[in-house]
Amino acid sequence: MIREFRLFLDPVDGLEKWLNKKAKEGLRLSKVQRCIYEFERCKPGQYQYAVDYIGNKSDAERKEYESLLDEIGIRYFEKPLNLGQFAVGKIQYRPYANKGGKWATSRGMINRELLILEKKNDGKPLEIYSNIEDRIAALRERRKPHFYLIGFVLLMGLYVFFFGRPLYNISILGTWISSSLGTVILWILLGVICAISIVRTVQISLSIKSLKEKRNILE
Amino acid sequence: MLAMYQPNHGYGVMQFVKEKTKGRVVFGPGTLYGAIDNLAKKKWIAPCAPVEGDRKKEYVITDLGKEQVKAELKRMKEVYNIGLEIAGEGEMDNDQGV
Repeated sequence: MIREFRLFLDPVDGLEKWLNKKAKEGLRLSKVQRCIYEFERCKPGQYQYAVDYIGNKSDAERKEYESLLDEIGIRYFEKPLNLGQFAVGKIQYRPYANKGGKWATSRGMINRELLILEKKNDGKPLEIYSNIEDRIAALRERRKPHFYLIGFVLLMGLYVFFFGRPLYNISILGTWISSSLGTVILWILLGVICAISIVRTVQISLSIKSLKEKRNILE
Repeated sequence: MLAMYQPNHGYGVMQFVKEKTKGRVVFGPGTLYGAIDNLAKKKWIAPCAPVEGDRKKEYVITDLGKEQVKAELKRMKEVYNIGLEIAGEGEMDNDQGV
């Protein structure tokens, strides 16, 4: 068994490429735990991988999707991706989700935002979406949480800018964080998260644009 | 929807489409799920009563769905006829392989 720790700036396409590279080297995914991936040896190129974002789905929709995957003989792994959602205890609010999926609970949708799909290599690529319309719709769903995250950071920034104090007193976390250094670190962190989100939004938007152009040519 | 004139499950629909298009169209899992979900929401197909011991969920076309199929066939026929008018029947015969 081989164990690897890995973080991805692009948790969907980046992860998919990496897993397919590993499969070509003769490694089959056997377990996923947040950022730790376990592999077992297989024949090089025996399996193919694809990553699907399902954070917008409700719990019932996820279960239906997974039972369909079982039916068509695709193995899957659930993986967390926490983005643009607001958490109170074990309940999360997802403003971008479908009907019935806005309030996610730890028993249902929390930490099951990504699905890694695996199928035996039969010479054909593993494509989750087989037409351009579906690919565009899937990219739009992936872009939504980024919008909310950027919006949230901007609103928070504006609040602090106009009122000169944070929304709640974070000194509860320890005295260092309320010091000016702590505040600076916090803002830098938020800034970095926001910047990554902006880059991802632009990348996804460009992908959508190029798919739309392709669709127009086909029409 | 044509795959569901008889009760059918997701895998069956996938195989049906693959067979009828001679392997040209293969539904990806996301597309297949999205299509079934959409058709069910529009009530063009409906889930069948679950058979005991069978985990697979089967769907069958509804009367509303059949109406939609007929309307679509009519539309396709119109397009086909316009095609014949412009391209001509003789040429179509020669190009049947296309």
